[in-house]
Amino acid sequence: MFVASQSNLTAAQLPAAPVNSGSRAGQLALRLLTSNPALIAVLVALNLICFHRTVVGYFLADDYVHVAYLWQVFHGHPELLLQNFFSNWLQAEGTQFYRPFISLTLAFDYLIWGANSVGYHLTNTLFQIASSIFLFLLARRLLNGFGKGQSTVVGFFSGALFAVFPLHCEVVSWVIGRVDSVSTAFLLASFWLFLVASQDRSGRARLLSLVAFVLSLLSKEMAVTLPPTLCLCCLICLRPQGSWRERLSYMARETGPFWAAAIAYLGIRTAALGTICGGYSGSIGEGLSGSLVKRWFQDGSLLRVLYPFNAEVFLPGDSLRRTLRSLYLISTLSLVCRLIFLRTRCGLNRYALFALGWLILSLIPTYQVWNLTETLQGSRFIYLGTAPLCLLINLLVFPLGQALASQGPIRILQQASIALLGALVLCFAGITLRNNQPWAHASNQVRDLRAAIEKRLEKLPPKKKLVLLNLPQRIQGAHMLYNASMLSVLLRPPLSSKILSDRLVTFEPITYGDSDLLIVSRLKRLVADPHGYEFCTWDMVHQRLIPLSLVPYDQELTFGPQELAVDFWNGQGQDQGKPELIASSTGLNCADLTADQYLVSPPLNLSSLATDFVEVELACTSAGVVKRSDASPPQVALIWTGHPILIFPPTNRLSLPVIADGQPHLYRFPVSQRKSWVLCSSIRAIGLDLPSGAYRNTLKRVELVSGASQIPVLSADQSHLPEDLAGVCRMSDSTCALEFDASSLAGASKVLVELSKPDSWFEHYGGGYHDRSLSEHSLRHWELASVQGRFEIPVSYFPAAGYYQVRIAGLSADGHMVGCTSDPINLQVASEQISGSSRRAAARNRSPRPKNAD
Amino acid sequence: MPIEAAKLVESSSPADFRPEKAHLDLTAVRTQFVLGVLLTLLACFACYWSSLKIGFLLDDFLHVDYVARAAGGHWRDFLENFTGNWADSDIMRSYRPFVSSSLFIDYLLWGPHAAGFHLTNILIFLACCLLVGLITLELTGSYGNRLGAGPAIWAALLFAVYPLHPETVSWVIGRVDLLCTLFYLGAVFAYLRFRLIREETYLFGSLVCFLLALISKEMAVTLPVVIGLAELCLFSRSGNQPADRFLRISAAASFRYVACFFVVLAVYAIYRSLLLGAVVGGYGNEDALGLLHSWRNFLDKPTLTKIFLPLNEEVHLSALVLRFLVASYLGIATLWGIRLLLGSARLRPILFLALWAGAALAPAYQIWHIYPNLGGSRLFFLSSAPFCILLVLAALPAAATLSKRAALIHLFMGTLLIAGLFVGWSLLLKANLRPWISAGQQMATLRSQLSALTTNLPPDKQILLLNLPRDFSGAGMLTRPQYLSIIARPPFARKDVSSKLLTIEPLISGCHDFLWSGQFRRLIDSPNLAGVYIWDPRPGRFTAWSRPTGDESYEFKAGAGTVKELAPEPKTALFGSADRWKLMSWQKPCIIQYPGFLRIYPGTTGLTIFLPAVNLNPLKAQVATVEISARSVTGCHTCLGKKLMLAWQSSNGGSLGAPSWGITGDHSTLSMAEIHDGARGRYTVWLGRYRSWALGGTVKRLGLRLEPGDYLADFAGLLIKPDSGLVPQVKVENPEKATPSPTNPDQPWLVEVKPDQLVRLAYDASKISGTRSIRLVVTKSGTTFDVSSEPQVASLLPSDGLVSPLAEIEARSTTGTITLPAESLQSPGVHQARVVALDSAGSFVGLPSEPISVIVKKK
Repeated sequence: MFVASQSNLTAAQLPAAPVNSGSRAGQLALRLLTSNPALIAVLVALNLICFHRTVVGYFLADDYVHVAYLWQVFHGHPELLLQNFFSNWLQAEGTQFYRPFISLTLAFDYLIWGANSVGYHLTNTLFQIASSIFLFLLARRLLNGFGKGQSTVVGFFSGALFAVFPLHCEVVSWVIGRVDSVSTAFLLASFWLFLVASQDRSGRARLLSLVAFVLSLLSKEMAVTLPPTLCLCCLICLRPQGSWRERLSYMARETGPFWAAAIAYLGIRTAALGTICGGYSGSIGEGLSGSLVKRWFQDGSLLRVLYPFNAEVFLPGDSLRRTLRSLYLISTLSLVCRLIFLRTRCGLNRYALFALGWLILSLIPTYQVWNLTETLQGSRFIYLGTAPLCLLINLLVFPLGQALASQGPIRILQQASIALLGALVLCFAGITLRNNQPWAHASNQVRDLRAAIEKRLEKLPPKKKLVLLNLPQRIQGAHMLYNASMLSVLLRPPLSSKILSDRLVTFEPITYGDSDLLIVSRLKRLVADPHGYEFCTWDMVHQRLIPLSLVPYDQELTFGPQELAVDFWNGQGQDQGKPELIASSTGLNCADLTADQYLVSPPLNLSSLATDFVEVELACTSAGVVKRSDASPPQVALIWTGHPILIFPPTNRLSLPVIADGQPHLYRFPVSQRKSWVLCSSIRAIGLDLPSGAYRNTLKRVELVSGASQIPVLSADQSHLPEDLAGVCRMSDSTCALEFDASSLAGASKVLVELSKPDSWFEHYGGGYHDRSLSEHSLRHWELASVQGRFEIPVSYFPAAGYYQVRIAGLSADGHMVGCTSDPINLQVASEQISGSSRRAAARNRSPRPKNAD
Repeated sequence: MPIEAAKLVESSSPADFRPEKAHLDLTAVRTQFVLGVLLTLLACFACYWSSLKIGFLLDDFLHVDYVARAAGGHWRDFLENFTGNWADSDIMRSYRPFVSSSLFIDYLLWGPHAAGFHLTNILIFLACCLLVGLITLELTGSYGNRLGAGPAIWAALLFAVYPLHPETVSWVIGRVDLLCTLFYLGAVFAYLRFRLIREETYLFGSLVCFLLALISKEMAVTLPVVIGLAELCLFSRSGNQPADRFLRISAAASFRYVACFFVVLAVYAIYRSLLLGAVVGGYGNEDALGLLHSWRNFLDKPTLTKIFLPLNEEVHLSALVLRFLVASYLGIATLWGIRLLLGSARLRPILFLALWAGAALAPAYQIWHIYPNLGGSRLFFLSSAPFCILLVLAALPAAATLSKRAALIHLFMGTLLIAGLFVGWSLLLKANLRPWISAGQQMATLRSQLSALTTNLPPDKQILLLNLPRDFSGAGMLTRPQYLSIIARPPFARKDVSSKLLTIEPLISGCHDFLWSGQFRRLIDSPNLAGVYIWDPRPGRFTAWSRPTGDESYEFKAGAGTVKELAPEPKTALFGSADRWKLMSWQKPCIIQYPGFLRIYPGTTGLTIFLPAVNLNPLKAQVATVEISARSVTGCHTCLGKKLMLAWQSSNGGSLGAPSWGITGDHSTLSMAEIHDGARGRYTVWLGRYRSWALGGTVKRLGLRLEPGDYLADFAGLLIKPDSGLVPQVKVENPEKATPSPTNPDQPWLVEVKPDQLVRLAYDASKISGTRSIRLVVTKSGTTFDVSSEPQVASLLPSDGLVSPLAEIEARSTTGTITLPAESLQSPGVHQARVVALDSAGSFVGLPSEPISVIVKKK
């Protein structure tokens, strides 16, 4: 129930509320409850209720980059902060952003709170609160033509919906998520002040608006959407009448300073970054642009904006899902009825059109990075967009109209809409509370990991190092630790009392990538030194470190036609759905398998380091018309378990497409490069998921083989190119020397070296390390005449500072590739190691491509 | 006098006087309503005529018994209804003397002929229907109604055919709700009338009706609240005009009238509390906190669905009817929604009716639930009145706020929808009445069979009746041994043969799926027993029961090669050997043979494996021990709680009404007791306690059921053996002081004592290995161990889980005597005592003894 807070309003301006004519005290109480401070207090309370769990949260994922940066800033390098204003943000490699103001806010937090994460989260919450309050003020100001009462209702509920919107957890509960909330808060403030300036002709407000806009721009590039949004607002809302010339002139006059500011910003930014667009570069950026259509329009990504349930928190039948669906249905019905029966009196208005336009404008800059996953990862990209979305929802649900108070049906409809909006706010709040849980859990888990590592390292002999084979990357969409450098920050001051990171070896991606991949040759080198390293894995379920026993030995295992005879008995006299499994001298014939059936090996007890490849020889043919449901290409999948009971975790699975031509083909699963394989320690059983339905299979052979005869060996010369604990090699001088050995590859007479582009990783393109063909994305490649020896990469080959990968492949005398590529060596090249002439030389030296292996 | 008038007077001389021709003015509301009365009368009798031949069922026997005795001069039990708990019930505390009085009047009129009682029920129901119509008339009349008595007639007709009513109308003791509702509606109508015409006689009448409703059933306590709601929602300051504001608070004067009702309620509450010794009473939860905790009962989705789609799920009816009903409801909601949007719908009467319907349910908070077979539907009887009126008001444009054309369209559509609802409900009502008629027929068969079986029985002989019929698709029948005793004596039987009938039913009403096998064996071994008969629900009659034969023990070891002897259900389950390649499934159940055990993956369907054929005597083979252990997907050992069940097939299992594969039902899931905890789980179930085991005849096959889930179970074997070495023996040591029950001379485990009389028990637990001491557990008055299935024997002890003990005493020796604590036998009613064996660590071993039931008489 809302009434105007000012006494000079007429009854017609108010949304009719079911007001009891009761006592004067009651009226006073009602007026107090709907006054500005009270409404703002409600918005603050809503925010605190939704995000109270993570106010005591911890640093997660990218936060560590900033913590390390701030440590530097406050330990003798304050100039770094200023550097953000005229160079790439944090001077990072792999990204090109211009967000100096964010670092200032973080530095301010560090100044007050030091490394106490609570302070940072408090600031995040404050920016979220500020955003919701500014949206409230903005919407009310925008709609003040409808009277104070109605504009207050829409304004308040816009702010309230924004406060509890379930897609805000990533921004509020992740410290560095503030990039969006800071930018949005200033953007909304700027917009609100713009409206104040336009309507009240206030010069001071206009100046403040410009200042807020500039701060927003310095926080995130998304703020460039403000000038076009203001143009839209001028044309649709502020000056809807008049000739186009007049309207455009008004628009230009009002928004001119903002355009000027935006152009100036773009100029400064381009000068600082050396590029207009920026964003992600290297193979990460290429990967994002490649799946643009899929990320926007498939997998229900856009629908998730309105239906914001974390799929791992909310099961399909959850009551909140049903509730939200019902509320949307009621809202839609109410809107449809309104449009049919009351269109002339309170149908949709131009403000809804503006809100829609604003929403579209706010989404445009995210085109490159948009990806709202099922677990709501990437929801930060819609943070700004939720502001116009909340306004739009309100405008669709609430029947705005001039002088409507005396019209009975509309009065009732308004009251019902208020109830509906209240229900939406409550429902969203319930969803947000639960969507926010994973973030609280993630914080706790990172704290637990640090404590467990500290405890474990205390017990280890001083010279022994701990090898942690996996990191908790994310839990139900909440980020934790993605790479070694993040863990390294966690394990040294200011977050840890002493430096522990120099005793922890990791196998994580250098920046981002498939966390299940592991360079097994590096691991084997460590396993060969049992006195130097202790191995363990992090159990995310029980949140504890589990010691791992890895035994390196070579053993190969073959299941031929004799061993593949399946002991199988399918119930009693059941004909329907009975698969056909017949053992013969050529192999095991399988037909009529259903999609849920799979073959399982006898018990094994094989070290996970003993096998590099599981090879399956299979002939598959389509036995008839393939059903529409089976229309996807047939696949053969390998599954495995490290537990004696035959339950195969869903993560332990690798699939390959099958050629259904009736001829036997060899399918090779590179298993040793998978953490999920290596962490089993001892492989107890493997299974095969063969093409089912209309496909007939003949399984001829299953073999677990070592890769010694297929994988060439490449290693860094530790005297010139030492490797750090995260597996990154850096030149100690200007010599990038590597040793290679492809002599075990049958038919190899020479070796080809591949060097990646800067900040690109071969596995981002090939999906793994052991490719059977050469990469089309390498920076350069060259041949070495021998199959064993040492070579150096000239520094001039590196065009810029950054991360590089080097790998080799064996070549036959006729230039065909033999076996597969070696495990890569990760290099980091510093800018000071590169000279200008080397860049030019790099452009000249390009050798012809060798042929790929068949 | 004007000239024309004078002429008229002159011309109308007595000779010329010709009475005006009689005609029916159908536009008059009164005429319409009289026609409505006739229609309602027709509808009531057309629907419920068949219930005249149903006869007495279940609780009817108890009530007719004491009114018959009162009519014969034995007034005590009848009069106690006026001064204490209704019918001296052992499971409920209530005060309903008016119901007893009405039954007494019926008995005076009709004698023991049930048809007369049913006729009274139908007449009361008819009166309720008419009151529903009158209340609707009051509500619509106040708002410029242009439809005359139309809505009122439709409301009365809808109420007459509402399909949730058979439990109230077709069951004689449903009169409790009938009378309560009659007076409740009468009170509401009289109050509405009073507020319209301000005649205090109506107010007085309303208060009297309220009092009569209260002494018919406690559900009427909500009336003052409903009257208050009427004041809030319907009336304004001026009294008989519609309120001009939403939820307007009426003048304080109006609330003086409401206060009168609260005064009556307070007087009644004090009087009732003094008589019953409790403010709330009912079925248990005595505190108001219970109301808060039981709010979820009211949100039960299936129950709410039953209100709108009231079909007994055990009765076949085309789903088309239900779809038709849903369409009608949606149509009504749409019509009302449109009027709401157009501003021509009256919210206040709808709000009042919705609140009334909800408030009227509140007193049933302890037991509110409508079962799939419509059991418990009587609790909605009162609320169904506002529900029916609400539907009619939502469908028909009773307000004069629509234009003439729009009103016509709405009237036509609304009438069509209401008529559709009437037809749909009539069909459902007819279907819902079928079980009651069948139950009546089966009870008639039962009584004639009892008469035939006892007619020529020698004086010292008795017959044992197994499984008294409980209900027929929701229509209650007999259930309790007390009722069996009543129908075996006048006026229901020609002569008293109750002493010739023995049963195994529990003393207190409750679960009837279990028996005490030791006591049962003693009964069937008794030389006085002339025959044993078991109730077969399919033909609906008693059939002779024969003693089973077979082995007393059985053992299955899941060794090598046993896998192919098993029959799986579903048959698509996959088998394989651990040491070979095998086919498995993500969804279907799989069984893998390991040396010494079978690893079972129940999959998404669950799995039942049936063991090779057996030939077991269920009266000897009593205890099953399953060696099985379960692990979750993470490989951790996990509890099989509620995921494992034992299944069996008996030679005459069908006669028990159970499915031929007698999977022990929900209550008997074997979350089984780990008597001996070991590396591999060892679960025990007391099969002898299950009636379907003990009475089903020779057991032919056994099976193990694993519910679906992400786990696996290693099954090593099953052992079934007698319970002789597991159950402590207990008997009454001083029978000369505590005389055996006169009605059950062959049941020494049942004794009747006076308050403060000592009862000494002799016990022997020495045969249970590991026993060092024993513990005696005595229950509170009115609670027994009978209802407990006790599959989780060890996990339930020592607190016994299902019953809260009154007293527990421990004794150091494994044999000896023990006296029941005196304080435990001071309160009258049924107590039970039993002994459990303890080992040196104080843990329970074996199984608990069969209970000794002690009935403490009133002083």
